[in-house]
Amino acid sequence: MSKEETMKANPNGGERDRVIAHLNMFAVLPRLAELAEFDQEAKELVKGMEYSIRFRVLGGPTLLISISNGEIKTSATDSASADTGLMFTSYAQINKMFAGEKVVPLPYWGAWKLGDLKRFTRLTELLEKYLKADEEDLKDPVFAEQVVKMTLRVAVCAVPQLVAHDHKSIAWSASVPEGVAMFKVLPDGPATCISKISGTYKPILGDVKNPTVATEFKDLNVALAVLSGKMDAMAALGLGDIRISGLIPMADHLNSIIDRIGHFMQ
Amino acid sequence: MSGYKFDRSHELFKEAARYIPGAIPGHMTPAITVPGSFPYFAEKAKGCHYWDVDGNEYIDFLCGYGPIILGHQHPKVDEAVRKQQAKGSCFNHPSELQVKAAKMMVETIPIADWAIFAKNGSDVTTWTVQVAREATQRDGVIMCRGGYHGTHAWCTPGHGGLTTSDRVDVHMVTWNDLEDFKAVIKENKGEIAAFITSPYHHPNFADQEMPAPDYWSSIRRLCDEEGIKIIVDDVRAGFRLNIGGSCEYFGFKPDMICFSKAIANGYPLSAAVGTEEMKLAASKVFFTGSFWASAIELSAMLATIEEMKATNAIEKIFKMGTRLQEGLRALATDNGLKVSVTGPPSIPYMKFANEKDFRRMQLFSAEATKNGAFIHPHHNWFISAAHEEKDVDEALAICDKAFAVVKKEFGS
Repeated sequence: MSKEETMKANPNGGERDRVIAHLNMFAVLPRLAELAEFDQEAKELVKGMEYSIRFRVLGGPTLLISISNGEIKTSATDSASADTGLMFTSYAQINKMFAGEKVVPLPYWGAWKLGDLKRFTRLTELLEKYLKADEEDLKDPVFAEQVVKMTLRVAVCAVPQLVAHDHKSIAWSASVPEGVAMFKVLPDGPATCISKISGTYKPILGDVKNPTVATEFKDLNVALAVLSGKMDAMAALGLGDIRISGLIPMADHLNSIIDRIGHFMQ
Repeated sequence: MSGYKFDRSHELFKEAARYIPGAIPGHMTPAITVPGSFPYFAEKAKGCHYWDVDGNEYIDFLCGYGPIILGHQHPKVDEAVRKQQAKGSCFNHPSELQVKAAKMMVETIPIADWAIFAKNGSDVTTWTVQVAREATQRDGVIMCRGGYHGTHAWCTPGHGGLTTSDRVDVHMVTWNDLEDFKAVIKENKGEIAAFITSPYHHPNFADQEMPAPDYWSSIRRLCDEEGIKIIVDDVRAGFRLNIGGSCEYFGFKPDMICFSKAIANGYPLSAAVGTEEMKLAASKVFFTGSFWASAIELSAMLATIEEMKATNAIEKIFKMGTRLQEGLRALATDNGLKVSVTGPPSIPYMKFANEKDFRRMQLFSAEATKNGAFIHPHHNWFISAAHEEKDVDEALAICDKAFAVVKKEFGS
């Protein structure tokens, strides 16, 4: 599909805004689930909290975030009700909110529940601490491992969004062979996968036994450097800092698509 | 397990990473071999053997990815080069060799009424597409999925740096699928200038596929009916199937052929040839490069063709390739393994038939290479006229051990 054709198919905003909104909704915000598992402040915030919030883009996707029993779950389902429902009139408007700018969405359902909303906002700030981690924080190996884990998960969750909405990824997707691609930090660090079966991409938030192709990072530092775009991956392969075994073209083409995340989420 | 170590290769690679993006960019990147089990830098080569920077010796089954057809440092080719070096190479004008070389190509290649020279395959694949566009006054180009025609934006297999418009006139078809081809020309009636493809399908990470018996005759007929020009990208296979071009081996007549790799036994040269009908259009498409008229490579080409004709080199290459292919099939069976050995004997390739992820092949090629037979896991191989029976047999003995390692690791 050409750039013009994808624009026509998605009249609610330009391609860039549409891609960014989908990445935020379906690759970044779902990371709140992990945040509630290991971040101490997040754990405190969600303790005893029973709250749900729905983000809806007019004519576009919807995302339900439910906080209950100390857990955070996200879903694209449209059927379940939410305590608060926020309608954004465009992709650009929801992106402004994600960027921290002041926007006023339409509360189309429920009450504001200001206390819960405030706690929810704090959770998103904590999420940013991991996804835009500073060098000082990364010196802590426990924190660094969580950053890598979340970044890998953002990457694999971003792929289905990119191949659906980004015209370059749509074109490149045809070159990606079918199978399961695994990304893993050695020796026993985080692992995550993306499968392509019958043309459909699905993230798998963990490792699998026999991936079609495995990309293995020597350690957390290598993973951090590659994922943050600070390391030449081709050189790292030759140096043994990254090892790819199996169907290399799958990893190669997927990496090109994953690289597009940086183009949208700077 | 051999004593092969790659310390110097790794040291150099580390240094290269400081100064060169990707350290070793392109098709020679270790990323598509088995990094850690393959050499990264070469020191010297002679005949069908080469030595890496750690002093490890290999029987060469890649031949520089194809250019070496008579063997490394062939005495007659190198002597011709030395003679021309004594006279110079880059002048303000083409040398007489330009005319001699074009004449030699026309006399050697039956479909050729003219020839033109450049340096790399991409130079001539892109230019012949332009010639076809000029001749037909159409924009569209058809190529096969998985086909490789160089690094220019319209055909590169990479994704970096491309724009949406780079590929708007390029239509993909599946090799050997006439119905697919018919559908594309029907959908783009009157808009297709050229069908560019290799003479047989030799993608990486896959078996090689020969044309179906009626494929080329049908393609020629369909293209004639629709006014589409056929360009054969013979960069990889050229001179290894037939000295007159691979189309002679398969029995069809394209409008233009692109050559490079083997035509000058390792000296950087490419060529395009075409029929009389294409000559006027060819004269209208601007064609130049800083080094495209340099004389040394032309002297190498003339010596290469003369030597190939004088020694019937292709027949010998086929004989050695057949010995390797048959040996591999037999050894795999003896080891209880299933392999598919594909491609013409001069450009063989083998992979394991019961896997799609190439893990057996990666282990096999790493074992073979570490023990002295340079076998690429994912790219087709090349045989040269310098390969002798003893070299093939020595390589097969190494492969036998590599098969045993695969059997032990995977069981089947």
